[in-house]
Amino acid sequence: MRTIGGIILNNHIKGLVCRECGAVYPQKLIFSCEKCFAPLEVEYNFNDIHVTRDEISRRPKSIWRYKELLPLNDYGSAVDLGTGLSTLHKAENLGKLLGLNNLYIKDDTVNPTNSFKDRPASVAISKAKEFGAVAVGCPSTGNLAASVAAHAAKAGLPCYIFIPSNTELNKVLQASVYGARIVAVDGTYDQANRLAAQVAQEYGWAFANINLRSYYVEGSKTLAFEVCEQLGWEAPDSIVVPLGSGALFCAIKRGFDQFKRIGLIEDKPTRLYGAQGEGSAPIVDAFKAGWDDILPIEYPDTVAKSLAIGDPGDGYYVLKHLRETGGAAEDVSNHEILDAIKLVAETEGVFTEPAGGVTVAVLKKLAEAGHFKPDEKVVCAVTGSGFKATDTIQNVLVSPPVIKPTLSSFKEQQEASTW
Amino acid sequence: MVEVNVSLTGALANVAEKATTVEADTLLQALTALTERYGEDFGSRLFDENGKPRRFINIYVDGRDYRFLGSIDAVLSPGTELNLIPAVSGG
Repeated sequence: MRTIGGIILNNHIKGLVCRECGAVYPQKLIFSCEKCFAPLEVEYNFNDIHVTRDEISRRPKSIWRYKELLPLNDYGSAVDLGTGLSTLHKAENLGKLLGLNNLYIKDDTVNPTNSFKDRPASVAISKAKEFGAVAVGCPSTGNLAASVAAHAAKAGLPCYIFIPSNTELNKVLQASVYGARIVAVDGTYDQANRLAAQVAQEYGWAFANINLRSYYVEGSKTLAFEVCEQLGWEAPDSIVVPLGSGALFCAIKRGFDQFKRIGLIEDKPTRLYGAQGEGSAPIVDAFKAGWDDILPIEYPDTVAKSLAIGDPGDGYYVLKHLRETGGAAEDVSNHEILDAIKLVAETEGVFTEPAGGVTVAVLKKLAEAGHFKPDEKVVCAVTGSGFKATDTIQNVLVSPPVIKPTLSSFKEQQEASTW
Repeated sequence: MVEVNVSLTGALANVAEKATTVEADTLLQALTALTERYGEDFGSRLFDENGKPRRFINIYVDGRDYRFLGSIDAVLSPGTELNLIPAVSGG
């Protein structure tokens, strides 16, 4: 261990490094390179990391079992609600329909606040504590709001959440119940995001996906770590990931790369596929057009509100990874998204929010287009629970028939077959 | 020329000021005026080697991303609010 100014530094963490110009920074609250403004990433001293599969397997079932690759100096201070090691379902029923013999669903609906956002929020709020932050928060399309609010409550920190005013009711309700101060912005996510960046600077607060962003995204890598561990310490051949800002997608790529780098899995390629909803698909549009840059969408419009980001901060890097790994990106209509929510629920018992409907619908589209071989290992990331978006999902469900409490009424209903 | 209110966030503010005003008729003129005021160090952070605003900086004119205005030569009106913010991820 090293110390600077009384703060214990973890030898595994080298510091922050700029993705573009390579400038190196010490650990601090900063969200972009001071020279070229590109994103900063946590850089590890990989030569100092020695951990075995057996050691990890014996640790508690949370994301902190991969602590050597998470950016905390004192792991004892982690804010942990028990996130991680979510179920990896062998999706045999859905796989049969799609002609895939080894299809898996990574079910992050079962995390403490019912989305994958508990992964980055746990790391971000832990890091905020380490920095001695007086308040935390985030801009959010909804899922991160609940997750940051819950972790802030556990950490005993005041929390400010900036959301578009059209955010799904249940997501607002969930964040509110943890005691967060909710700022509903009359505008899009991108506008809420911009305001939050200004507020974080003005008040010196620690916002998960702004000035804690470099640490925050490290939490999302654990989804990739877990998939490898759950597949018997092997990366999948393909993975389908929802695309909002693109941060999760890039983190998953980093996760596979880092596990290879420290020798926990073999150096086997994984194709990464991205999924967006029509009307909010700037990354898919750029991918299909062969562009290197994203043309933002001013007013994204999709039922998958958690993916409704018109100016995806990591879009440029997603395009690079899609092409480098031999993957692809597809978008799907609202109708396809809602159908896919029912499909994965009826075949695999997984109740997803529309973002998961996007990945399942894109998985189906890709499978039908022949992107996967029948026996390859394909993982589909379902990243949030359907209970978060019931106001959207209930529109496609038929109200149940009401019958009298008699056997004859039931028989009448059964014979009419109007279920 | 008209007076334009400028606010800078993050690392851009560190090499300039958090808020200032400039005289300009177009967005490009406003950005050029900022470069002249704060020097080449600021200019090289704002523009890439081809003279285009850097990929990782978001420029908002009265709350709208300048890319939706059609051109960097977009005409500004008196009292326009110009925000320059390093791009941030999110979700």
